[in-house]
Amino acid sequence: MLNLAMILALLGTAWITRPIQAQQTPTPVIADPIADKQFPPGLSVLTIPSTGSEMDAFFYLASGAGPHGTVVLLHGLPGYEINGDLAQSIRRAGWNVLLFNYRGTWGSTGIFSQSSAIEDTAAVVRFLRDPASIATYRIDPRRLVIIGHSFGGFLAGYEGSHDPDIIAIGIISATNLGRINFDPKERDSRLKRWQTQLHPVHGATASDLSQKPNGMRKNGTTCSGPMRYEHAQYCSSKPTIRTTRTWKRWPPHCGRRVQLVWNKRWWQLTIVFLITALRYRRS
Amino acid sequence: MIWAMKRIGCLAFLLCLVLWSGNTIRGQESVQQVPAAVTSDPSPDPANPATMAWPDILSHGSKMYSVLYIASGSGPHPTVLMLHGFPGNEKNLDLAFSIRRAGWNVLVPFYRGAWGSGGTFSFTHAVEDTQASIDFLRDSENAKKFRIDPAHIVLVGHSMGGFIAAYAAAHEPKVFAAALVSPGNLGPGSARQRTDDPQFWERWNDNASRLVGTTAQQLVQEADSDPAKWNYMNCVSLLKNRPVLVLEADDRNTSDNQELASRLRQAGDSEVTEIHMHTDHPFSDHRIAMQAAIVNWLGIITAVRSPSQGPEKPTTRTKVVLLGTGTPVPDPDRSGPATLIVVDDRAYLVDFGPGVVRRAEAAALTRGITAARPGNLKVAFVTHLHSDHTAGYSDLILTGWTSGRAVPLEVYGPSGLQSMTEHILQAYRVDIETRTNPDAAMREIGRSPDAWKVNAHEIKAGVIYKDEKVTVTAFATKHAMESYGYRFDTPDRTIVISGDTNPVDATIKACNGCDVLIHEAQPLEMQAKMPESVQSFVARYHTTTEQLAQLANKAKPKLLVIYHTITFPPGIAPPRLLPPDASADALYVSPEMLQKEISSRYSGHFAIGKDLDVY
Repeated sequence: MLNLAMILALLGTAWITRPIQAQQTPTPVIADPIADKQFPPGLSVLTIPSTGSEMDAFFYLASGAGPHGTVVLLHGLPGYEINGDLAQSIRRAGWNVLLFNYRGTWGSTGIFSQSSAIEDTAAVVRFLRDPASIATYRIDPRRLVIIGHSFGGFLAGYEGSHDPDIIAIGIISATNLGRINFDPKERDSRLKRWQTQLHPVHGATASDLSQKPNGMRKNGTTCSGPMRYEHAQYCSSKPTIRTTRTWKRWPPHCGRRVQLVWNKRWWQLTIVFLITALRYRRS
Repeated sequence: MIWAMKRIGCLAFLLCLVLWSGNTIRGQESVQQVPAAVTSDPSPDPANPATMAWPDILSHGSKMYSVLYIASGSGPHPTVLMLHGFPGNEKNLDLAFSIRRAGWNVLVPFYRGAWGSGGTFSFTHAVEDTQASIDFLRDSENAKKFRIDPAHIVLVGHSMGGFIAAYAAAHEPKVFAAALVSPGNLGPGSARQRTDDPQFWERWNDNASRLVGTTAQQLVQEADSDPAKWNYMNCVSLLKNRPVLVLEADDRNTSDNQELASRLRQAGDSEVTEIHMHTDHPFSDHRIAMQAAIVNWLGIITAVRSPSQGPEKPTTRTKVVLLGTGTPVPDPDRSGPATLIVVDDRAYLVDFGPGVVRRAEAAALTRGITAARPGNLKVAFVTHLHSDHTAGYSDLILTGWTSGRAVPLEVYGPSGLQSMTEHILQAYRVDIETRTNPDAAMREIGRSPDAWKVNAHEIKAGVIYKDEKVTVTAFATKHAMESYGYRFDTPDRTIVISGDTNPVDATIKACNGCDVLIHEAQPLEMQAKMPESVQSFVARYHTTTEQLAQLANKAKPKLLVIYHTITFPPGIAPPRLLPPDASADALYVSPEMLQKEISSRYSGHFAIGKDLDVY
């Protein structure tokens, strides 16, 4: 079987993609944790404020006394796919996982825009560092990781670049908003797509959304300091040019590329992000 | 079509036993084998990949948002309608993916007023929204567009969604089955919690605040206004003819859930599965166990009941159990050819390809076929002496013996069988001597010291075996060596199995309207890609799908089961067989491709056999 033939770049040669053997599926992906009666896992439902709006958030809490490293899992636009399976797997690996709906999406109040989602992500990170949150949810604020898919992948890169205390980011088939915003052809094609896909996004038209946020750089994100990036990409039968280009424009010293073979679930991969993040932490 | 249902590979530990005996299991958390669909990705189907859609579903003038996960394969696929709770913080999308990997579509709608969907929320609206979603799935255009099998819609609901699933299934007979995951009993349950739970209002206010157009107060009033309607015990009489899974947690709903399962059983529902897990309401530390239970259950309910058989479960005394449907190709998913004909508590084995004994034990454990326990296999028939049909012979002789067979094995087959038998026993002389000497303590553990022996009978066409359960008639077939097919006449069914053969009239005569014809078939699509020498061999000694369709049109079996199809799953094909520049899966024939080849030529009822299928 050609199963799990993921291709993963590992070790030292940070930027070079290197195939590795079929990746073993980590236990947290496929098996329940041992029950911890004293500190069972849980699901807390919160409302996180962001610039006057209320965002619905779902906080999967890991079992054990903690404090737990915590992952912010960012969905794409509009977020039909919220990667709930990934959240469960990451939690089983001993991490808290916070999912939330950006302002103006899926019933969260307010108006959605590219800039507002960037602010929302920062607001969530602030929330996780709040001493009250740390105590309530057994968060280890020194181990915050942001993982995002598609549009959320951009946000993960953006927030990670601007917040040096985020220890790792996972970028799954990310959109490079920065580049698309500056490319009229790409913008048009995005506009067409958004016009049919953005029903659950409120308060902004697809056309509004296509305007680039003030001050956004052409490459969308910057890379600074010892940040570690993991970039997952789908290799479909038609390679996703957009994400490939994104990666190519990614500053080489920022991290490593992880490539997923077509049709494979990315959650398996993300456990690898976390293990990697932990390694960095230890070193 | 039955073939679609048989695609769902399921290894449920104990659950089948439960269904057949009409019993339930409680507190059995760890007994579920985790099915592959929960833990691993499926082989990609490039022609029909798994995908997702997000149709807006119209319910009473408002648009509901929804996510539709579409399974890979051309389908049509059975489809789960997954209903979230109040307000739906846990959408169970991990479960949705597992169900999809098991070959099902999954539709996850968000009720009106929930998560950005238009309109307002109420319990009544949620019921209406669910009916609208069922109508959406059953719509012929949608069924075509999204590869949905409208005859197999199963509702899976969690918490409040569990109530809605029970209610909607009860009132929509076209729903095939319902899985209720810690279902909340909206009327009496909420009334009781108001008294017992000091946090009730805080909880309900918070939940209601995430929904549009309602308040906790309004929802409580709605539930109180018609206590009979909002009590799922009143759904029992309408649900009792269908499979129902009640999955319980250690939470506020436990007692209601147990009562519901118990009432269903009392009402005569023989397909109630009740499972209790020691976990919280969202199954936080039992997500895998929960998914395993549901995926296993889906496999079982569709494996034992096909649409053509109607809502009644089969009551035949005779069952056909496919222990191995493979070929010489070492396909990890298909053992070597081995078919079990079970009549009541007796098992009759046809062929013993590699893996036979382990598959037999799996049939006992996961399909409830206790007659298949290796120690119970006492009579076997072999169609011909090719290794793929006989490489499990020594295992059958010796493992059957050490597993408790107390009498010599009786084996019937063509010339050469006796010699093969003698040589196998000779080859294992050291093992047999070691086990039969007094030190081995075989007798002490209740094993017969003589049952390693084999009585090998070399046969000719005609009646070759008869006991009070079955008469077995052999008929000559056309393969590369002396070969036979067999007809089993039992008190309630006639079963015919071909073995490897070119199409022969003897098979048509033996079947002649039989209940089940198990026949080999080689896909045309694959033949064209094979080397000339292989094509020629197949033309002389095997049966193509086209030939099988012609044969079946004459033999007129009530059910045609196709097995022993040469196919190389991606990566398995030997390089010498692969055409130049071919992809790794060039010689893979999926069940869907095989199904197409047959269905375009044969209109009768047929199934593409898979290991551990039961007919």
